Amino acid sequence: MEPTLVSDKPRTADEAEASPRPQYADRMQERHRCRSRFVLGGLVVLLGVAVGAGLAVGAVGISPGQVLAILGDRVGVSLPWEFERRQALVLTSIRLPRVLLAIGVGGGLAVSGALMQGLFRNPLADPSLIGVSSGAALAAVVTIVLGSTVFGAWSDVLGAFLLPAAAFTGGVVATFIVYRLATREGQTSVTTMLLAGIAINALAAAGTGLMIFIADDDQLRDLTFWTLGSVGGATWTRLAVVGPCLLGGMLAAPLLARPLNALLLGESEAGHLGIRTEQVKKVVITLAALVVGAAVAVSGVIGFIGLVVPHLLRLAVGPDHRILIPGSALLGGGLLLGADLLARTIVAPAELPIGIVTALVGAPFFLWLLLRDRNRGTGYSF
Amino acid sequence: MLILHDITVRIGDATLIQNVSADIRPGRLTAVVGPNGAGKTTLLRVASGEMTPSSGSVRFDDRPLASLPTREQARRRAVLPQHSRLRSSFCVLEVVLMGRTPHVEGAESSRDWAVAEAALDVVSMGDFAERSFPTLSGGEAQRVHLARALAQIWDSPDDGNRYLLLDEPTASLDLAHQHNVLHTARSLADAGTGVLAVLHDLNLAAQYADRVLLLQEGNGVASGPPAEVFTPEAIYRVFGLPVCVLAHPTQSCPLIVPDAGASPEAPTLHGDGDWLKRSAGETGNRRNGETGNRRIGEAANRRTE
Repeated sequence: MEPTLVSDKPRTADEAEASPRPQYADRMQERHRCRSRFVLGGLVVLLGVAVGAGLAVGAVGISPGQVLAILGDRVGVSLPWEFERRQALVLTSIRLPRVLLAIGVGGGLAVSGALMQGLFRNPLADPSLIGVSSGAALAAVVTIVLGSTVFGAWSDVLGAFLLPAAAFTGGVVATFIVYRLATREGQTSVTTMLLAGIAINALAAAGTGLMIFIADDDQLRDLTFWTLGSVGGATWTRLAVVGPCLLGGMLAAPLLARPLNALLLGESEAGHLGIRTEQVKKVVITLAALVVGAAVAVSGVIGFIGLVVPHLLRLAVGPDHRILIPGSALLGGGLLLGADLLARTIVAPAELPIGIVTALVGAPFFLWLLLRDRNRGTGYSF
Repeated sequence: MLILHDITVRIGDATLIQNVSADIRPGRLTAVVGPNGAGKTTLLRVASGEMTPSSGSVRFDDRPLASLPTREQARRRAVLPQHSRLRSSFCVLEVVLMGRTPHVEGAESSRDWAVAEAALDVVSMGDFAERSFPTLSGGEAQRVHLARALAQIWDSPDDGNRYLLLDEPTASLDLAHQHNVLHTARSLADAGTGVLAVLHDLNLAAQYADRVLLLQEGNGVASGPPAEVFTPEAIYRVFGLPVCVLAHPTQSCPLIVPDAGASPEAPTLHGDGDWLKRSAGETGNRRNGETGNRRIGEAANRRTE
C-alpha cells in the first residue's frame, strides 16, 4: 500500500500459494525427526546398559551371558551359558524386581517432574511441589509411629501393605487439597497452586517433624527409609501393585506433550490454539499425583530425579515436550538404576540411602552443566 | 460471521464493557479504538472465547460460541495477543509451527512445516527461521507470533470462514513494520478473512480499517466507516484531545492530527512521507496518550467540582 515505507515488501497470504512450496522447512523437519530419533535411541541404549549392569553386578556375581541364560531358561529357551541355581534365584526374585522398580520409580518421578515444570512454566517445579511427596511421607511416618498403637497386634500383618497404601493415600489427598485451594469457579490458578503447595508442604513437614520427635529408636530407623528413599524393598508383589500406576502414567504422559508445548506460550495463548487448558491442568495433576504417590509408597521420598532429569534433557535437546517427556522416562529410569547400583555396591554389604547418591552425583553434574552454559554466554532458557 | 451482541462483562463490582455490539464480518477489517481502559481488550477476549460475557451473546457462524469445541474454534480463529511470554529456546520456525496445533493429529505433516515457512515469509522473518526465539527483539518476536497466527488460519478444514483477532499488533513495532502488519491484515481481509484489530493509532485505523468501533469507558460510542467515526468532536469527547481531521493527502481516508496546545491553527504539510511518519510514528502516539490522559483528568476534576 505504501511501497516507499515498506522496504522489504512481503509476500502476502493471498499471494502465496495455498499449498506453499517450502525451501528450508523440509530440511528442518528432517533434522527434527533425526534429532528425536537419535536422542531417544541413545537413551534407550543407555537404559539398556544400566539394566545389564543392574542385573549383573552385586554380592553374587552374574555374568551378562548368565543373565541371558537365566532369563531364557525362564521362558523355556536354552542358552549356552552355565549358571547356578543360587544365581537364578538372586536374579529373578531380588535383582529383576529391584531393577524394574528403579526404572519405574525413576522414570515416573522424572516424567512427573517434566509435567510439573511444563504446567507451572517454572524451572524450580518438581513433583513435590503439589504436596504429593510430603503428604505421602507424612502419612507413612504417622503410620509407622502411631500404627502399632492404633492397630495393635495387627500392625505387623498389615505393615507390608498398610504403609504403602497410607503413603499413596496421603500423597493423593495432599494434592487434592492443593488443587482445590487453587480452583475457583472451574478456573485453576497455577500461581495459587504453587503457593498452596508450598504451604501444604510446610504443614506436612511440621507433622513429619512432630512424628520424628515422638518416635522411638526403632521407628526412627524405619523413618529414614521414607525421608531418604530406597528401592531395596522391591518384590514382585509390590511391583504388581504399583507397576500399573507407574507404567500407565509414563505411557499416558506423552499425550500431554503438545498441550504443554502450547502452554509455554501462556495459558490464554494455549486456549487460542484450541487447548482445553483447565482439562490439561486436571490431567497433569492427576497423573503426577498417581505416579508420584505410587513411587513414594514403595520407595520413599527420592529427591533430585524429578527436578533435575527434565533440566538435563532440556539443556541437551531443548524445550520440546515431545522429546522431553519420553526422554525423561528413559533417562530418569536409567539414572535411578545407576544410583541404586552405586548405593548398594560402594559400601557393600551395607546400603546407602539412594537419595544421598542421586543428590551427591547429580548435583555437581547439574552445576557443571549450568556453569558451562553460563560461560558460553548462552545462559539457561527454560 | 462472528457476532457479538449486546455484550456486558462484569468482574466483581467492575463493569468492563457494557452493552457493546460488534460484527466481525469475513472480508472486513474492523478496528477497535479508544483510550486506555475503554474495554478494547475485553471485547477481543470475548470474541476469542477467553472470557464469557455476563450478558449478551456471541455467535460464531450462526452457532452460539460456547457450543463449538475449543479446537474447532481454533481451526478457524487465530488470536495475536498483546504480549507473549515465551522464553523457551524453540527455534523460530518451531514457534510458527505451534500455530498448526489445532490442525495436527499425531505429528506435523510436511505440509504443516511448509505452511509455517510460508507464514514466516509473509512477515519477512524467513531469514530467522533457525534462530533461537528468545534471542529475538520484541518487535521481531511480535512478528513471529503474527506468523504463528497466520499459520493457524492458513486454510480452514471445510473452507469455512476464518477470523483473525489482533490485540495491539503494532505495539512494539517500528514504523515500517506497523504498516507491514496492517497491510498483511488488510490483504487477509481482502482475501475473505474477518479481522478485528485493537489499535491505539487512530491513523492506522483510519487508513486500513473498513469499520471502526470507538469505545469509551466500556461503552460503544460510535461505529461505522472511519470517515464517519473520526470527527474532531467524537475524538475530543472520547480522548479529551483537540484534533484536526484532514483529508489524507494521497489516500481516501481521514488524517487525524493532534492540535494540543502547541499551535492553534492546523499545521502545514511538509510533504507526504514526512507527514505520515509524524502522525503514525511513536512520538506522535505517545504525545497523544499523555495529553489525552491529562485532559481527561482535568475534565474529571471539573466534573467533581
